[in-house]
Formats: sequence, C-alpha cells, structure tokens
Amino acid sequence: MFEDPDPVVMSAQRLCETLERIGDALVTLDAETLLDTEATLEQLLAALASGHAVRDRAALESLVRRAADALLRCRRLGASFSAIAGTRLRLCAGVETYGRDGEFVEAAPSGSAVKVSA
Amino acid sequence: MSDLFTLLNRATRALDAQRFGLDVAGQNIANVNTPGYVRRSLILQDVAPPDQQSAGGGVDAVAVVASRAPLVEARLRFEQPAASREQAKAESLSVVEAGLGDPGSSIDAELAQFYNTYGALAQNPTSGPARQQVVLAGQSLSRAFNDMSARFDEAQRTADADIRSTVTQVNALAAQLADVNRQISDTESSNTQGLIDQQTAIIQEIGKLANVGYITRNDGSVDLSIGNGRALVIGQNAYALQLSSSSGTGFATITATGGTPTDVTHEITGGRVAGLVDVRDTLLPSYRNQLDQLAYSVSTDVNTLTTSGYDLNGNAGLAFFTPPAAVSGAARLLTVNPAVAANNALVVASATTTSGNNDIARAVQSLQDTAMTGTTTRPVDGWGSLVYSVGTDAAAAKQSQTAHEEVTVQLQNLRDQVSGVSLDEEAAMLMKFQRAYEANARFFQIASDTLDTLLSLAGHS
Repeated sequence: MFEDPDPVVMSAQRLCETLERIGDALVTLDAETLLDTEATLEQLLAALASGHAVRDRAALESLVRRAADALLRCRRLGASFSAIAGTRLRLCAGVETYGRDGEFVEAAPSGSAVKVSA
Repeated sequence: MSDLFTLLNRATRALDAQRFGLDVAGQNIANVNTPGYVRRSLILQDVAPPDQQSAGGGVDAVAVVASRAPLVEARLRFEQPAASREQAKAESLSVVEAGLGDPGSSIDAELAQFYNTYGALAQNPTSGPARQQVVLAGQSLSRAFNDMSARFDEAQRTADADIRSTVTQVNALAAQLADVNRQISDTESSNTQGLIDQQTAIIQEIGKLANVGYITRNDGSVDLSIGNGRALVIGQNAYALQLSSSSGTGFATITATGGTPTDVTHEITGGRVAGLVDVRDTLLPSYRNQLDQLAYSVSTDVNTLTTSGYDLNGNAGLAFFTPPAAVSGAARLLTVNPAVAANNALVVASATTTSGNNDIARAVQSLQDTAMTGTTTRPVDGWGSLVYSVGTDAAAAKQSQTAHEEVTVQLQNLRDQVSGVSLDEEAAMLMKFQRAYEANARFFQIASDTLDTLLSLAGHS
C-alpha cells in the first residue's frame, strides 16, 4: 500500500523549484517568468505556514537547505540587478540623483500626467 | 514642388543610407565572436526640405555609433576579477583534494594499520614477525606523511609557476594597452571605435588575471593601476611587473615598477594572481601546518611510550620514530628510527625488563582512541580535520566562483538587452523587470522565516 506523499515536503520541493526558477530568470533577465512565479510563491508560503505535521523530516531538512541556498542566490542576483537598474533608470529619467543640499533624491516616475476632471 | 532630378537624387540618397545600414548590420554579424566588439548602430537623419512646398530632402546616414553601456562595463570589470580569483582557487584546491585520497585508503588507513600492528604485537610480544610488521607499518605510515607533504610542496610550486606565467601575461596585455592608447591618441576621433573595442577587451582580459583600477583620459586612452594604486599603464607607457624569487622560499614576489618599486604580491586582491597567491601563501601553508602537527603529535606520543619501556633484550627502549626537531617539517622528515628499522628486537613492547610483558604495545595500540597530547582530537580525527578543511575551502571557492559567474552572465545579458535601444525602451524594460523582481522580493523575507521554522521542525522536533 502506498502512503500519501508528505504535503509539507511536496510544498518545500515546489518552493525550491520556484526559487531556482526565479534565480534563473534573474540571470537571463526574463521578466515574464519572474511575474509568473509571484502567485506560485504566495500560494506555497501560505501552504507551508498552515502548520501540517511533518512526516519525512530528513527529506524536509535537505529541501529546506536547498531552498535557503536558492533564496540566497535570488537575493544576490537581485541586488546585482538593482544596483545597475536603479542608476540606469535615474539616468533614463534624466532626474538629478542629488539635490541642492547634497541629499539623495529618488527619481520621480516618468510619463506624462493626465488631469482628469469629473 | 520637386522636379524629377530632385526626386531621383532623394531616392539615391535614401538607397545609399539603407545600403550603409546593411553594411553596419554585416559588420555586426561578422564580428559576433570578436572579443570586445560592441554592436554598432547607424544614426539616420532626415534632410530638411529645401522649401515649404517640398516634403523633405530624404534621409542621410550621419554617424555610426557603438552601443556601449559604461555602467554595466564597470560592474563587469568588478565581477570578473572576483570570479577568476575563485576559479583559480577552486582549480588548485581540487587537485590538492584529489591528492588527499579517499577516506579509508589514505593516511587514516595507514594510522589504523600502524596502531593495529602494535595490537598484534601485544598478542605475542616476543614474535619476530609481529615486530617486523610493526616496523613495516611504521615505515609505511612515515612514507604516507612524506608523500603528502611532498604533494603540498608540489601544489605550492605549481601555484608559483602559474603566478609567474600569469604575471607575464599581465605584462604583455599592459604593453598592448599602451600601444592601443598610443593609436587612440594619434587617430581622428571618428575612427577610434575599433580601437576602443580592443581597449575594452584588453582591460577585461587583464581583469581576469589581476584586478586593476582604471581612469579614462579625455583623449580616450586609459590608465591602469594595480595593487594600492601602483602604475601599470600610464598613457602610452606600460610599467611591467617584475618577478623575483624570495630568498627564503624561492617563490615569486611581484614588484610594481611604476614609481618607487613596491612589492604588490599581496596587494592584488582579484583575478587569477590573487587566487593563486592565496593558495600558495595562505591555504597550502595552513594545510601543511595541520599535517606537520599531526605527524609531530603521532610520533611524539609513540616515542614517549617506547622510550619509557624496554626492548626484546631488556634494554632501555629507543624512540620508535626519529624524534622530530620541531612541528615545522615533521611530516616531510618523519622516519622510523634507523636502528629500530635495522633490528626489530629494538621494537619496544614491554614496560619491564621482562620480555613477555606487553604493556607498552597495548598502550601504543590504545593511542588511536586517545586524544593526542596537547589536543582534543584522536589521530584519525586530526587527519579528518585536514581533509575537511581542504574540502570546505574547495567547495566554498567553487560556490563563490559560480555566484560571481552568474552575476557576470546577468550583467552581460543586461548589456546586450539595453545596448542599441532607445532610452525609453531601456527604461521600460528595466522598470518591468524591476517590478517583477520586487514583486517576488516582497516574499523573500517571509520565505526565509518559513524556512527557518521548517528547518527547526525537521532538525530538532
């Protein structure tokens, strides 16, 4: 007789795969894949937080370590991208990055403003 | 109104402009594998109408521009030296790791065999064959330590030879850069794009070998510095790094010659040179020290016991191993005492002058399960600790190399995606990607907390 797979282990497995996909998308700069993973990530974290009992602890431990590595990779690649993207966006927007008093100034969103009146 | 001649002239000009566009595209395709080549784009401009009755004068090709992304290039110049440094470490350490042998068939096995032969001697303290087995196992253990020490020596010499060869490459590239700088200074500004491509490729290559600082001059030439701001290339002059052999070890030291000659061997923190210097001067000496400490402790503990006992003839016991003068060099010099090796009756098994006593043989056998003097580890654990150090360092270098390489690929992708598009397109692409990343980044902290909770559930409940 086959036992049902451990739901927590299955969720952890999917979390690993999702985080690894996010990492790959951060390397290839694939925005579509990144956007697709947002909902999956949300569902998985909700599932993992629901407090099921863990049956296969050894498998879970190994998956959690794999997920932590994948998460670290996402953060590293995200930080690398943001360092370039932030500066490039400010340059594209043509906005001063430092104000008259020397304070850092965030770039304002580009695009034309539309005034709507009822 | 345009006359027929004007119309034909306009059509010819348009055809010329489009043909020029095809030339540029052909040039891009032809150079797809050229190191440092940056994609060219043709800038077209409409020709103003000669009068109000005319729609316009057609189109002209006004410039060919190279799609450079200086910010991304600068980040790449930062990442590449780090990736190369870790790569050099990972390559060197993988060789060292392989040389340690498999668990259970290296020095750990020799240690077990040596102590067990004393166990066999304890069963029959007067047995000539058992005494000879002890001598043979001691010699085998000594050779294993000698060989391992020689392997570390060889790994250091290999790293040193690699450093010398890499520095020679740095010098050749620096000389090339100085020459390209000269050509850029001598060339009309409109014809320098190819030279700037070469300049970029050379700087990238140097960055893989050693991290350098760079400053672009107004005329387009680039100055490079190495270490703590020592001149490597200033305009059209290259200042070659000098290699000399240090008096103690004979290993190469690297001297920057721009300005006051300065030893920059340990000032270089990135690129292949830095990785190799780290392996040669920090990691391998640390492993050798662990090996020496192990050889010293094993031999000293055995000698302490054998010199407190008696040989087969009831004479005061000799040291089994030639006593090491110091920890340093203990593994390289470890040998069985030549007198004992020549006459197995001098092997000590007895704690008394009575030849049938086996107290010392049993005490030596039990050393394998006892912490070595001055340590908290058993001999086999001392070896395990060394193997673990090498394995951990090799894995960390490999992991770090992969991480830096991934960021490098990301930056190259970023450069390729943004170069040649308009600022608006670039901004749209970056914002879309950044929004997508930030959407996920919101969940990263929750993911991290969840993983911590799961890890504690898996590991401790």
